[in-house]
Amino acid sequence: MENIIEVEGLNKKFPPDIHALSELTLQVKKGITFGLLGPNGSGKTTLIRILVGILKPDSGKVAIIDDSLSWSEKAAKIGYMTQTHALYQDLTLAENLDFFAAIYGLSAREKRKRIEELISLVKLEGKEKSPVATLSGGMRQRVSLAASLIHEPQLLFLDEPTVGIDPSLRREFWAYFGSLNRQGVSIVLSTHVMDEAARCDELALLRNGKLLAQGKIEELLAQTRSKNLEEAFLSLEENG
Amino acid sequence: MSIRRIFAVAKRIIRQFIHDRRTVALIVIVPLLVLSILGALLKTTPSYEVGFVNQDEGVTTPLSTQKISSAIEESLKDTENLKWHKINLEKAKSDLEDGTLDAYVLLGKSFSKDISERKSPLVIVKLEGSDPNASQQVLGLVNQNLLSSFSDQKLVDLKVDYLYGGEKFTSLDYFAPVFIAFFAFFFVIMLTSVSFLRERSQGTFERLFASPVNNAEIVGGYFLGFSIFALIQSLIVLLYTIYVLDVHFLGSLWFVFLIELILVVGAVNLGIFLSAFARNELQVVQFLPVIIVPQALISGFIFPIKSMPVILQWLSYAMPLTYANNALRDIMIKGKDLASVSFDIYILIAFAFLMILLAAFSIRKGI
Ligand SMILES: Nc1ncnc2c1ncn2[C@@H]1O[C@H](COP(=O)(O)OP(=O)(O)OP(=O)(O)O)[C@@H](O)[C@H]1O
Ligand SMILES: [Mg+2]
Repeated sequence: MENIIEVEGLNKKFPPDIHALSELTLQVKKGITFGLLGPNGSGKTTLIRILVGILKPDSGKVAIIDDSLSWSEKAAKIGYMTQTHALYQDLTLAENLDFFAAIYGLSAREKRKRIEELISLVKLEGKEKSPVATLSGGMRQRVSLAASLIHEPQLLFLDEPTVGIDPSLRREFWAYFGSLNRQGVSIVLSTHVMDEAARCDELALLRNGKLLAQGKIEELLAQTRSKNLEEAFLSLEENG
Repeated sequence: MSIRRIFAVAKRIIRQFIHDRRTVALIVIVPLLVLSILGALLKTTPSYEVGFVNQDEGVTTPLSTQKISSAIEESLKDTENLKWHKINLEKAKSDLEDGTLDAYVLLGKSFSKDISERKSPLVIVKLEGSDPNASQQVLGLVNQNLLSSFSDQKLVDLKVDYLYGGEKFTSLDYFAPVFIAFFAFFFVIMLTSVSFLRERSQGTFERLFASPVNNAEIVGGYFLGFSIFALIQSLIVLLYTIYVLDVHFLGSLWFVFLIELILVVGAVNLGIFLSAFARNELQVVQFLPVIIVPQALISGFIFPIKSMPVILQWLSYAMPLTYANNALRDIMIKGKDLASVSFDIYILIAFAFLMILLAAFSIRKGI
């Protein structure tokens, strides 16, 4: 399959009457960085949770990675960085990574190697033995990213990964995402920051659980005859 | 099912425990403290003052007048807990009223006559009575003391023997076995429900449920991690009760551990179930008294089940600790083997299964 994700007619309601997603259809190609752009409450997190299998949709079809795989085989290929840090506050940075590595079945040697690599990727050398609770917000965000990369996933879901990260590290993260893409890793990330969205290969614009548009940035700009994404988003909102 | 992932979860639980020194201290120190206090309380029984009023007029035979009661009066012995005061009725009445006496014993006028005619003589025990607990104790002591004087005088033939335990057994021996189960049960429920709640609130479940780990592996890991601590706790409590508090222990340590493991399976899963109904740590801790206090009161922990009202007896049979207590007492005090407590073990296994089902249905709640 050329697409790593295919979603068709997805619906999800929350009580009492919130249409978190309605009739959502989209495709994500293999090996690209795909952005979910939308304001607060537009359904980005809900979509990601359905895609990683935590949440069941009310209706609609979801095909992910390879349909011949079992649920746990797929889960082993997926990395998920949640919107909140989702780390054990009382454990140290290294212990957190060690735990998630063990959950994904890494051997002792792989674990050691990966933990070292990732700590240097997120630039937290020397903090290995610090309890997560004692780290700054941005540092926790970095640990959270490292934890979702620990098992070298083929498909990576990042829910607002760069919130609270300083600009220079943010640039390095984006460079790293690019290098992951070149290794064939597909990335789906959510954001409501336009200039970050502009770095994605493709975008889906969401609002109130509905897809406003999907495509490459140039396509979206051409379609709406806008100079930048912000304009494009606003014009789509008016017409949608 | 992957053993590796179960171990990973268990290892994490153990690490979290080790980082949390206060909790480690708590689960060891609290039981020891409670047991020591209980031991001190049970070892010192208060001393009671009891009047002895003898109005016996004796039996008159053509040859002499004989008072059987005199011999009894002679042979009354003061003990550690009971002091006799030989006085007349007026003094006994006023002393009982002003609190100098806790009770008095009155032998009626025809005491000797009745005995010689083989009728039962009148013996009145008047108790101060405001504290039912003290009354019970005084009555018991008086009975014991009188009975032994009666038997000294060959009026009755009294033989005391023990099927289990013996004269050296104290009340603490009776309580120690159930404490072990109670504390393990209590702490495991508390710790599991709080850790599970944290998993939910800090979002780590979100990550776990997106990983290949499944519910059974999570529960298995929790069980493994917590049972290690529950067993260490029990071992420390056992050693302390045996070597420091001089509790008598007849049974096998392995049997005790086995029963406890089954109980811990139930407790872990009950903790998981409870955590699904709480939104924060305070709420989950609020469940604990609801679960724990009734079990402490009516599982035969303190009060014997046989002496409870029927409704409470029924309730007690619905409580897992009742069976754990029963089995542990049989093993520790009576030195019985597993086969003779198999009924209790089956019930505990059934409880564990029920809790596993409840936990399985609630584990992903709110995710
Ligand atoms: N578990 C839930 N129960 C009830 N309502 C929910 C739940 N999760 C999400 N919602 C609702 O669904 C809608 C979409 O939420 P979602 O978290 O997907 O938005 P989002 O695009 O991720 O927003 P943000 O940018 O703030 O993260 C919101 O109205 C939210 O209130
Ligand atoms: Mg969100």
